[in-house]
Parts: sequence; C-alpha cells; structure tokens
Amino acid sequence: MSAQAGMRETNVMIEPPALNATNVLQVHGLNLYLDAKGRRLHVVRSVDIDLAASEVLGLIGESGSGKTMTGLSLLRLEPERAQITAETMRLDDTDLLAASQGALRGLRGSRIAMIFQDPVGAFNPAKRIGWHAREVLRRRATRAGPWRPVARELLAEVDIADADRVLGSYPHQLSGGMLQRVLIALVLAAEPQVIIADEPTTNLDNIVEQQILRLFRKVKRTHGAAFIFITHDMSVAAALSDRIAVMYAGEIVEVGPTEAVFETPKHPYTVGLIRTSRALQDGAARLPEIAGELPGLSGQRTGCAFAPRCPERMPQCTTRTVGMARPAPGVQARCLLYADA
Amino acid sequence: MNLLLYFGAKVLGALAMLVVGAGVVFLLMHAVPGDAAMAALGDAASPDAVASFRAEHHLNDPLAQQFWDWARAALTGDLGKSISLAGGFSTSALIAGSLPNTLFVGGFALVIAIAISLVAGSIAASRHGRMEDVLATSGAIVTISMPDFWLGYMLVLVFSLGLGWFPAYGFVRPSESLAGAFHSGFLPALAIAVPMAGIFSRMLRTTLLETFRRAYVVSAHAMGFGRSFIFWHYVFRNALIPYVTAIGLQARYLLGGVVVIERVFGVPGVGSVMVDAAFARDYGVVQGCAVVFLVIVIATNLLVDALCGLLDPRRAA
Repeated sequence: MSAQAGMRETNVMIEPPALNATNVLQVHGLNLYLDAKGRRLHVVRSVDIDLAASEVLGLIGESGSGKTMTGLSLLRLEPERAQITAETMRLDDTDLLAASQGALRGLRGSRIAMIFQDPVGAFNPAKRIGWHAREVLRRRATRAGPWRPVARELLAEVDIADADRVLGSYPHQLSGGMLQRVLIALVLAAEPQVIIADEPTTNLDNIVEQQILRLFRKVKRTHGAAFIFITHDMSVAAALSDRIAVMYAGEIVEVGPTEAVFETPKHPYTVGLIRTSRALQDGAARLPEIAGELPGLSGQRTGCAFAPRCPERMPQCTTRTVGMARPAPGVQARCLLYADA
Repeated sequence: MNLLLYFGAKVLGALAMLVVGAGVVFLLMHAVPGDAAMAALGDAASPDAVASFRAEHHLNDPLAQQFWDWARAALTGDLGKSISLAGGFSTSALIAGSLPNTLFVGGFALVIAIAISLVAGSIAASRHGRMEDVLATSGAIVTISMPDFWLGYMLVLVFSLGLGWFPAYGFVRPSESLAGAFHSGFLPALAIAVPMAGIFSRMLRTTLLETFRRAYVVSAHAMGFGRSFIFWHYVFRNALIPYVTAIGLQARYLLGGVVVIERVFGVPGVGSVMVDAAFARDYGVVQGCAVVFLVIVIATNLLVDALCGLLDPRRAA
C-alpha cells in the first residue's frame, strides 16, 4: 500500500495520465445512451477517466451533466434502458465491458464500491443495520472472524462509538450523517481499489457534511482506495481531490491537478464555475452567473457544447469538433482557445 | 413497546368500529320497507295476531330501546330467535351451524388467490415487458372482469357436468370430512379466488416494479449482492407491505363473493342463511349475520394491521 501511495505522488506530476500499470481504473471513450420516451439521449459523451491507485479524482458538474450516470456505469449499474459503449473500460485487469453479470457482481462491493447521495435510501428499510452489516461482511470482509466484532471495529474507524446501538437500529431511526458513516464503514470492509462517492454529503447539513468530509480524508490516509468524488460543490472537491475533472453536458471539459484547475482554470466554463464559487465564499452581494442553460442531451452535437453560453466564443466554436487541448502540464481542456491548429 | 402501543390503538379503533358498525346495521335493517309481522304471518293474518306478534317480539319499543336490548344480549352471545323459521331457531345456533362452512370456503378461496397471485405477480414483475408479463397482466384483466357467479356456473359446466371431477352442488361440512370439504369446496373457492387473484397479481406486480426502482435496490447491487438475494430480501420483502394491505382491503369483497357463491353451489353458509332471512324479513337473523360479517371484516383488518406492523418497522415508530 505504501508503494501505491508513493506512486500517487508521482502520478500527479505525470502528464498526460498515461495508460500504465499503476492506473487502477482506465476508461476511454465512454458513452452512455438513454432511451427516454422514444428519444435517445446521449448522456455521457466520450468520457476518459484514468485513476491511479490511491488517487482522489473530483468529478464536478451541474446536475444533469452526467456525473452520476458516469459513476453508475463504472459499476455497470447503468439503468436497464441505457446502452454503454467504450474503447476501454478496465478495472485493474478486468474488462468491465466484457465481464459477465456474475463477474461484475463479484467485483461490486469488493473491488469497486459506490456510496450514494441519499444515505437513508441506501438501506433496506425493513432490516436493521446489523442485518446489512452481517450480509455485507459475510460476503466481503477481508478481516477474519465473526461479523459482529469486525462490524464494531469498522464502525469505530468511522467514529461511531456506540456500535451496538447502531447495529440494533433500523435505518429510519438513525440520522443521515450516521447512516453515511455506516455505509462508508461497510464499503471499507472489503478494502476496494476504487470507491465512487456520488455527492455523499449533499443531503447532509453543514456541520455533518464537514464531519463526513473529515472522515473521507482520514479514510483516504488509512486505506489505499482510489476515490472518484462526484460533487457539484467546488469547495468540497477542492478539499479532497488530487485532480479535478469538470463535466459539462455529458463531456469532460477540463481535467487537471486540483491546484492548477483552481488557480489557473483554462476552460471558460471552469472559469465561470470558480468565479461563482469564490463569490459565494466571499459573500459577494451579486453572484456572477453563467448565463444560459445546459444544452439538450439528444442528438448529434456540432462544435462546443458550451459555445452558446461562452463569453470567449469564436466563430469556429460552433462548427468544428472540439477535442482535448493541453494548455498546461497535466491539464487538458476541451476548448479551441488552446488548440494547436 | 412502540409495537404494543401501535397494536393497542388498533384494537381500540376496531372496537369502536364494531359498535358503530352494529348500530348502522341495526338502523339499516329497520329502514328497509316491509313489516316483519306481516312477512311472518302472511297477508291474511288478523290484526290481533299481528299486534300480539309485534308485542311478543318487542317490535313496538322505541328503536334505541330495541338496539340496546339487542346489543346487550348480543354481548352474551344471544342474537335472538328466528321469527321466520318454525320452531324458533336461535340466530346464534343458525350462525354456529353455517359460519364454519363460510370460513372454510372463504379461507380456501383466499389461499388459492394468494398462491396464484404470488406466482403470477412475481413472474410478471421480474419479466417486465416480456411475454410472461403480457400474458399475466392480460390474464389478470380478464379474470377481474368475470362476474363470480358466472364463473361459478362455467366451472360447474366444465369440471362437474363435463369432466365430472367435482360435485356441481352441495357441500360436505369440514366437521364431517375434511377431504370431502376440500373436494366439494374447491369449485366455489375457485370461483371466488380467480377474480381476486387477478386483483392481487396486478397489485403485487405494481408494487414489485415500484420497489425495483428504489434507491436501496441500486445500493444493494452496488454492495454486490446476488440477484435472487436482492429480489427476496429487498424487493419482495418491501413489496409485501402494500400487498398485504391490499389483501386486507379485499376482505369485504371476499365476503360479498361468498354470499353469492354459496347460493350458486348450495353451500349452507352464513351468506345463505342471511339471504333466506332477508327474504323473510327476519330482522334478527339478518342483523346477526351482518354483525358476524362485520366482526370478520374488522378482525381481518386488525390482522392486516398486525402483519404490517411486523413487516414494516416504520409503522410502529
């Protein structure tokens, strides 16, 4: 694990995140189509994600930008009416596209796990927490021994002191923050390589959110898992992530080391997002907003998805296919401002 | 502790409902046009005979008085005497003789309906949108649309008169021969069960499909649980709560069906007793039967509430 941690340090510097053996997750050209009422929505568009061992990638975007669908796709839990295509989609040495349903079930919760936005909704309302713990630990625990002591140990790791009371409670008897801790503990039981956390603090009040974020930071230190932290909150992403990927209308429009993205954002959309979030933090009287709305997700798109709202729009933005440019070391932006030719 | 409080409140509510229900039954029976004395004695009866009949049966007392007398006696198990049947049969004896038959046929029907719907509903939901689903769903619509008495005659036509597998008419009391009761009770139970099974299946299918979409099911998949584990412990287990509630709501329709089907198949049940008594303007007996039905419906609801309380930990909270 320490070797992996060491590699993470170097990987942040490497540019671009290359296809190499240290990447636990390699996704290239991921597309997700959703059939909705006769229309075919292109919800996730050519998304690339390379995740090094123990790395935390913050996936930022507005609601409807395709973050959650991307996360679900990585566990192959996309909705039934969705189709996925990808050039590469590998978890370590497993091809996630080709894997059988049985193989995928074996991976889920053990090598790749997901934490959801609504902790109350993540538990079976008819069963006690202890039941969940027993069923998960029976299948997934890497630690030996009967489930209850292991459960106590895991709950202690997520700062739950009265483990037995929690285990004897039904989900509706516990707070959202408590349930999110339990879920994190259960996910950690299997020591997964990749944990996808989909807005895990969005439904929590501010103080609890801070506690859970602190917990994530601790977990990041003590466990070797790589995280994809999905959020719409810039400050949350900044607090946890090694790298940031910004999603807009199904595409990743900018990706780079956290510091670089925050200090010198390249894509006009990222620039707008960060300006808004700074103004929020500074308590500005007037919030700068990005004018316009998200474009529709149906059909073919010519040019840049952000062009209609972009303050830097150029004539060619609406006619040319916009690929990823490399405006700075380790940074990629899907913007013609930085195109070589 | 919470659970006890929950059940206590439900029992109290049920008792209140019983009192109000009995009052309504009593009033309704007296609002029906027609005179019991005339019905019992015939049109040619002398005014003196009618007057003495009315006095003997306290028919001249104020309604509230009659209800009070009746309710007090009913609490001791005495529901009065039949005024239409010669020999003054007690209503309690009539009910005691017929209730087991009704409960047997009704219970049998309920078991058949639940069994059919569990299979059909689960298959339809897990094969959503496919051939099996279409078959089960359209089959359910067809069976729901069938009047039970018509279905009863059709079953007789095919299975009794055609194939000769079951008797067309008559019923062997369960106290005489259990096997005989199952044999002679099968067609009446099936006639009641089939339309109910249609309703139950659709209900189960809908709640299962809703439950499949719940966040906790996605979360269970993310934990790597197997398909059948998720189906039974997450989907089916949680869909059971609305399903049981729906079955409880159908209890009164079940009784309505029993009354009709008892006539079709000649089952000597409470329904038959009640219909005969109604034609004879035999208030006391109709009232007694109605109260028995009332008790059955309330007891069923209580049972459903208890089951839901056990199935759904959030109920008692």
